[in-house]
Formats: sequence, C-alpha cells, structure tokens
Amino acid sequence: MHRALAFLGLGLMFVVLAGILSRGKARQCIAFSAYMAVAAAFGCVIMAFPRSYTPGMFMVKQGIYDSLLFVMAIELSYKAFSAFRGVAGRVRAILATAVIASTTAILVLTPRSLDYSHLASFQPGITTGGIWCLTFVALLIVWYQIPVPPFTRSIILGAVPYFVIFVVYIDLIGRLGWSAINGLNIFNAVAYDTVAGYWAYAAWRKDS
Amino acid sequence: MIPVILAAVAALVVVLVLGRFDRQRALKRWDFVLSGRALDATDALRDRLEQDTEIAGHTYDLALARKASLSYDEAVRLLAIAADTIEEAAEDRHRRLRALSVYARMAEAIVPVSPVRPSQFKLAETKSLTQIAGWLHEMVSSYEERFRFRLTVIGFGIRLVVRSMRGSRSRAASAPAHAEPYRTFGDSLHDFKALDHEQVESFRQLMLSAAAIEREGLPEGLRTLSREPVEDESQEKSKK
Repeated sequence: MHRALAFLGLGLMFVVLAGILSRGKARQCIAFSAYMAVAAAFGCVIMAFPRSYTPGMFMVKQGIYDSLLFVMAIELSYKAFSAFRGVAGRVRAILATAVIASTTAILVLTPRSLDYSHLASFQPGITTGGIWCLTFVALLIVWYQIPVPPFTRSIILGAVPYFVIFVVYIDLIGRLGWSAINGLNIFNAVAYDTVAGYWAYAAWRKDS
Repeated sequence: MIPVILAAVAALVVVLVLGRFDRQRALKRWDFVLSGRALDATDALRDRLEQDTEIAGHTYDLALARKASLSYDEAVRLLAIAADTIEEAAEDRHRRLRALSVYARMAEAIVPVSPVRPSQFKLAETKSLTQIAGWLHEMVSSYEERFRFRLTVIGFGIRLVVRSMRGSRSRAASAPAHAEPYRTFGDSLHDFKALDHEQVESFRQLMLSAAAIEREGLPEGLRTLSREPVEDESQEKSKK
C-alpha cells in the first residue's frame, strides 16, 4: 500500500515539474522547483535501489528539504515584496526576526549529535520554524495586498498544511515508536499525494 | 507537543487568511491607486457624502418646523427618518474607512497628516474624543500609523454621533415638546458632517501619497493594469 502511494507521489512530482516547466511557472519560486526536482530524484533512487535508503541517506535528504523550506520562504518574500520599496524594509525586518527566532529555537532544541533514532526530538521544531516563516510571508502578502501570481499562492497553501501533517507524523513516530511506522508512512504518503495532486493541478492550470 | 500545536496554528492562519485572499480584488485596488483617477475621485466622494447629510439635514429642518407649529408627532417621525438616514450613511462611512485603511498599507509612504481638530465639534463626547486623540496622535511614531489612527478616531467619532442621535430620538419621542433633544440632534448632525469632512481630507491625503508610487518599479502585472475607469470598492458596495 505504502509503495503504491509512494509511486503515485513520485508520478505526481513529475507531473508538477512538467507543468511548472511547460507553463513557465518554475521561476516563480526556484527553491520550490528545486525542492520538487530533488524530491523526485531521491524518490527515483529510493524506488530503484531500496537498500540504499539508509538512516544516513534519510538525514541528508531531510537536511536538504529543510534548507529548501527556509530558502523557499525567503525567496517568496523577496519576489513578492522587493518591488514595493515602501514595505520591503518592514517585510525584511519581520522575516529576519522570524528566521532568527526559528534558527535560535532550532539551535536550542537540536541535540549536538543528529541521530536518526532521535528524529522526533528535533525534526518537528525545525519544520515548524520553516512553516512559520512561510506563514509570515502569507500574512504579509494579505496585509499589504500584494497580488502574487496564483501558483505562488498555491505553493504556500499546499506546503503549510502538508508540513503540519509531516510534523504530526514525526511526532507520532516519537510517541508510538518505530513499530507503528508502517501505518504512519501511509498516513504521511496520503497527505503528500493529496498536496502533490493540488500542486499538479495548480501547475497545469492556465492563470490569467 | 508544542511544535505540533504551533504548526497547526500556522496552517489554520494560512488557510483562513491566504485561502480567502482574492487576487483580482487586490489588482483592482492597485489599479485604483495607480491609475491617477483617484485624485479626481476626491471631489466625487465629497459630493456623495454631502448628498446623504443634505437629505438628513433637510428632514431635520422639517422636523424643527413641525415642532414650531406644535405638530409634535410629525416632528418626532421626521426626526426618526433623519436618524435612520444617518445610521445608514454611518454604515457606508465605516465601509469606506475600512477600505482606506487597506489602501494605506499599499502606499509606499504616507504624507504627514494632522490630527482631527476638536474645535469643529459641538457634542461633548466627540470633542473629548478628538482632544484625547490629538494628544495620542503625537505619541504614534510613523506617519502610516498616525494615518490609520486618524481613521480609527473618525470611525469611533461616527459611532459616538450615531449613539447620540439614537438617544436624542428616543428622548424626543418621550418628551416631544422639549427643545434639548432637537438641539442635541442638530449638534450630532453637525458633527457627522464635520467627520465626513475629515474623512474626505484623509482620502485626499492618502491619494496624494498613492500618487507618489513609482509605477516603473512595480511588477509587470501592476505596471500594465487597464486604464478603464473603475470605482473603488466602497463605492461599488454602496451602490449594491
């Protein structure tokens, strides 16, 4: 079941990539395009060589995803607000505060040795930091009435709810233990496929 | 557990706030601000606000005439009509103030605005409100915040005036021969007109600020907005 959902997710990632490239939406958020490409690449490697998916590889993959999440928030805010000189300064200050606060929280919460078996103790904090950076961007877009392209809006609208599911998923691994991993993987994969489906629709949609 | 709660709150905020964000409406707002038509709209707004208060003022004058000719029932009825007209107009004013507050966020910089002058009001409550607001105005740091504070004061003033009108209307109904309710009603009407004047002045100041936005630096979608005439959203809503 999980393997089928993973295949579906991988397929949807390629549909998203094809959509953003053919409709010229890839440049709206390069970090998101990179996120999709990296996720698709990792997906292919894991599907082709399941034995290569070691805890070490998971940590590398997750580190890249986390970095891209923060870069996504910074890039989206830069693209949305840089043209509006009057508000750009304030936005920079607010976002810088959010990034500094989340980075400080991550440094405090993260153990010195990043160990796969203790994933549940630090990963939810990191992802939540990224989620709040994206949330600040969304709030500032609405506050200043910035008419961002529809796909940019879809990126935030899809990413934030999915990452919340991801935080819950990791938190549940910590609470229920690795024995519950099969059921939790299905829960996470269903959520991912749903959001990937939404992004695929948004990527291929003709925006006016 | 804390990260899970924080993340869930963030998702709720994003879905509620960004999910309801209407891009077309935002584009319309920008179109209105950037088109240069906004400055011409000041006179149109002034005329429109005056129309409402003129109707109420005329009805109030009729009520005074009926009272003078001892037709108290008719006088109270006319006073109620005038009060209803102002209450309806007050809703429209609040809508406009909300729209102005949104436009204020879009301007790159707001020109300095003065506080609402207390000397132009007759009601004790609006006078006190504007006096206190005058002191607080100096404590607010940025021009943008001062502008939004000015809008808040006007909105609060409108609420006070409407409350005073309601009170004088009910007092006139219970004691129609007394002069005080009619006098207070007249003072409320005068203050409502003064607040209208302040609202038009805020609109003019905002449009001066918006006109200073450099169109060339904006994203492509905003630079190429249509030149067709559009009305601001508060005008559209009030028409509906």
